[in-house]
Amino acid sequence: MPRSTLSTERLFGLLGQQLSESELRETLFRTKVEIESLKDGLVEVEVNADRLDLLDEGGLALELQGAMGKATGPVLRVDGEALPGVEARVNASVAPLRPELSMAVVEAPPGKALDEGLLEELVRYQELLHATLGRLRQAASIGLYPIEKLRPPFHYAMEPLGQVRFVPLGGTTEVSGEAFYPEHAMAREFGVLGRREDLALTLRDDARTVLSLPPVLNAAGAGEVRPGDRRVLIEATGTRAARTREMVGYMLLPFAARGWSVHPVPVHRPSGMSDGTEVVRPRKVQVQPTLISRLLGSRLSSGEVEDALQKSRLGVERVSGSLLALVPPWRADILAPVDLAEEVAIARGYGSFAPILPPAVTMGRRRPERRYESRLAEVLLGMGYQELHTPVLLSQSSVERVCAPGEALFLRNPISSELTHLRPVLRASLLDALGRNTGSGYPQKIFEIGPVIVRDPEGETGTRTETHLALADAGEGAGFALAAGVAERLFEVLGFNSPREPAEASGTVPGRVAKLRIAGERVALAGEVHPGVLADLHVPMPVSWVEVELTRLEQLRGVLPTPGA
Amino acid sequence: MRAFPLSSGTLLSRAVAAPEPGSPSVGDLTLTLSPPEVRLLKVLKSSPSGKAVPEEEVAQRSELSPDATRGGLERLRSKRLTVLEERSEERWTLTSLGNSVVKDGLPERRVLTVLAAKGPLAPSEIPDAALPVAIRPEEVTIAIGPLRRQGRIVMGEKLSVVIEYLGNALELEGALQTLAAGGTVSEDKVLKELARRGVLSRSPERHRAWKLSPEGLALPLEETSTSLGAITPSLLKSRAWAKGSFRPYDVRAQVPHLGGSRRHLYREWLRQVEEVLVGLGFEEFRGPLVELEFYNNDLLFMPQEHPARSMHDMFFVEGVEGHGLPPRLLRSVAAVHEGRALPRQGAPLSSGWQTPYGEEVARRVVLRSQTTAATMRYLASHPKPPFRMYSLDAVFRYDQLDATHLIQFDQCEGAVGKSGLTFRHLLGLLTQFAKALGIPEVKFQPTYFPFTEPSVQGFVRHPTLGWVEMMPGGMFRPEVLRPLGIKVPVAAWGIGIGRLAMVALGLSDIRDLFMDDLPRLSKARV
Repeated sequence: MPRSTLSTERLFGLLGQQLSESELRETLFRTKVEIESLKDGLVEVEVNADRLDLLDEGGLALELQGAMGKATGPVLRVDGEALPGVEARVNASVAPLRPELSMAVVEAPPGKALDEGLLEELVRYQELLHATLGRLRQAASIGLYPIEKLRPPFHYAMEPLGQVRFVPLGGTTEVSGEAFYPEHAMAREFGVLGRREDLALTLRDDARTVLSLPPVLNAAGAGEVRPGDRRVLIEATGTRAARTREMVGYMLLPFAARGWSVHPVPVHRPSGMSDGTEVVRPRKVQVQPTLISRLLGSRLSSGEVEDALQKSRLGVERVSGSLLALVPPWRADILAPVDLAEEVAIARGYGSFAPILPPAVTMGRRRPERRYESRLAEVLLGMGYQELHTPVLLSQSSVERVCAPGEALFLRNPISSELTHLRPVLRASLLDALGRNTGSGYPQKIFEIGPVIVRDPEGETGTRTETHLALADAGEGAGFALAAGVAERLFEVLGFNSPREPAEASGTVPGRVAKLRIAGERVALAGEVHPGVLADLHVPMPVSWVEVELTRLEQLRGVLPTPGA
Repeated sequence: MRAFPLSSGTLLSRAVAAPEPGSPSVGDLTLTLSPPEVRLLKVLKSSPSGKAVPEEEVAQRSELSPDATRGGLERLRSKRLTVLEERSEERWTLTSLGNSVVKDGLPERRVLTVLAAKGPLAPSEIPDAALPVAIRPEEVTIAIGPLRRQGRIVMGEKLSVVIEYLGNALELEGALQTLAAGGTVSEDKVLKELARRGVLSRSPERHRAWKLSPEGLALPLEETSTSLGAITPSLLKSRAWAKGSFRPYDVRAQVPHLGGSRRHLYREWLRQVEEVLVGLGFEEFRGPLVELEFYNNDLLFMPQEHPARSMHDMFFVEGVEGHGLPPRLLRSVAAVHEGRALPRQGAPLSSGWQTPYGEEVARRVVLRSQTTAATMRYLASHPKPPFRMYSLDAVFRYDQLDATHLIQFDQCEGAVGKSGLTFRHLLGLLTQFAKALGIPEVKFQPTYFPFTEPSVQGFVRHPTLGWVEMMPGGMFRPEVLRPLGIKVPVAAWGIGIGRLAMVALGLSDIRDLFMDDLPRLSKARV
């Protein structure tokens, strides 16, 4: 889950009061934030992945105000008009690499301006958004600009590297695009996202001043906000419009929480123009209070629902019997009425919803095949076999000991060389277990009824998960005769009478494997393990095994006479 | 199968203290003797004037193996019926080198012989020249010293013989022959010289001899002939038990350790969990372990670009691709992901993820990362409400393997569908399930899953760990239920049951859930 370290000075400053660690922890238990630590003026928080707004001091302060009842309702102030002349043009050349651009302008309230603290918060929050929603800038990235010093409109385009000259943020000398891309540390990390062959993405103002090379780095000066700035341009570029809108939406939060107002920025795209209000305006989600009551199981009045939504810092409007929630752009998690129901539940506290039980009118039962398998397990336990529980993933060598090459499926992205293959037969796991028990004394008798993965071109995944039964004997006297005897005993209790026929199986002594068939289909094998395999496992005793394709047998049970069927 | 030797005399091993007031008399004690012990006592009793009998002789006369003889005599001694006389003496014995010297003669003899016949020779030429008689190079060195000191040979450029006479080597050889024949040699100087040469060694030899104690002598042995030990088929057939009396066993004696086959401890525990669920009216459902992303993620309204769907969060199966997805369901899922209205429906359920939905992503084949995939298959089978379903089965997570994380672990999935079902019912069901598993205290916190709203994390109180996250759940979103055609609210949860099992089974390492150590499994507590 995403984490961040916030300044308690800014958090409590915005909240309007100090809280102790335990007060903070207790209040936040009811929310989607958890306190990891609070010390030295810093508070480390972890939030649920849907609430990136809570990673910002401003967002967390709004949440705490609501939870503590100190302040409710929305804080976003949208000035519906774009600032005169402030707009952006997207050149068609960006389409193949990074087609989307969203923008907004924020403006400080009278007498206020950007300060060091807010600047620090903006830089940190911007990087958090890059790392999460922005997928390390690949999906989307944000830039902030001192719009008072720039000349709109702004131009987003793809240009020849040779035309690009700018002073990279943090530097003092002008460099060319050709020099910047191979040399600068940021370009080495993110350059591939902003450059294709000898073309690079640029954002310029109307005076041709480079603001930034999205999504790599801003320019010094034109791409640098400073304390004292009173208007800031927020920009996001990316591969999808929904993501760039969300990025700008989240970035409005630190400003909006401090009373800054927001202006839309119209964007002209090759496909048409948008007035930019879709980026900054609250989204409207309509909900019937009765639906919320019905979902939560508590009879809540329209007023109670309204109060709860206000505590969640949403705007609420009444429209003929239903409510219209006004969702700020930094609440991308609220999609539908059910999301508002959860907001209401959180605002009222999960603890206020008394657990009740629905009447039980259903019949419980295990699957019939699982019950059948339990009975079979009892038979094997009675014959002295110890039950095992082993994982489905094995090493390549474990699988190839007993399988034909290519028989087993394997992972494209294994995490360990010991867990790469999906067992197509259960005896692979049993032999591994015998190899780990060479110091446990003999004889050893083990069995498992468990899942295997077999290839099946007809199946919708190209595979089938089946249940097998396997058992193994290790010790003096283990051998084909014992395996065949056990197989016959099993078939006896399964109610089948299948003559043995010669068969082949990897890792066995040739001529010492038998198959047992039902209705013409092979459903079981019994064999004696080859000494080469035993040497490989360091097992000093002969070993024999039986493996039954239980799923197949269970299916056949319907067409053949079996006891208890 | 090893026999269980209940009838064996080895059961009698308790040391019997000297008779005290109130303890059994000597006469009673005979009843606790095994037949071999009686035989040993008889051998000792037959020794003239109670002289101690060497242990080997006791074994021979009782016709018991040396081990059984010693064991029986020791047990009798612990019952104070026999006395052990132990005597230790030093004995000279031939070493393996000594044995070869007895056969071939001392190195002096062999060296002098070959020099006389083929000399003069350099020392290094002697082993080859001596063939077929064997002389090792080190034996040449051993022999040259005394032969030169005694003036038998001289060393010029090569060794040559002066006097062909062996001197005291003859004496040493004679002593060796005597010892080899079982005789004794009294000359200390000779023995020490042979020991220095490594042909003799001195070792202590313990002689054990046994006689009866006064209690043993007083024991009326004949009465034991009617004492009965193990009940055998022939005893039953002959009805001899009616005439004899049964020898009581020492019930405190050590018995052989027995193993035995068991259910696997974790599987046994899982069965108990299932019993609870069945008792609460849940029916079992199972889905495949290898799954399509369609069921694992898409039906769960997880955005196709969701970070938890990357190569670092799920295992992808190589070489297979999905096909045959149900077309109508696929269309509906695509619609909710893209924020479009479902067929025959006015408005979209929500804005969706506003990114194009890709069928190629839906067809990717993965190891199931959550049992909720099985729940999706269950719901896709259109169960008739009200329903209660559980699936207790394996899932796979891309996690480093350590004491608290497994790649494969079990989830206990539950889903309840019923008209009028609410969030409070979800809380009630989770509380009830916890109670049934023996967890009295649960509290709930908001959390996030893309497929449930509201979502909840249930914390349970652990005696030492405090509050532990254990029961994540929620009410399925309409974006999940509507494409599946489910018209009632559905509450669901997916509990990582392994953690709970560790607490219940007292395991500190989660890898022990796959324990295959046979002795440990055999001894696990019921």
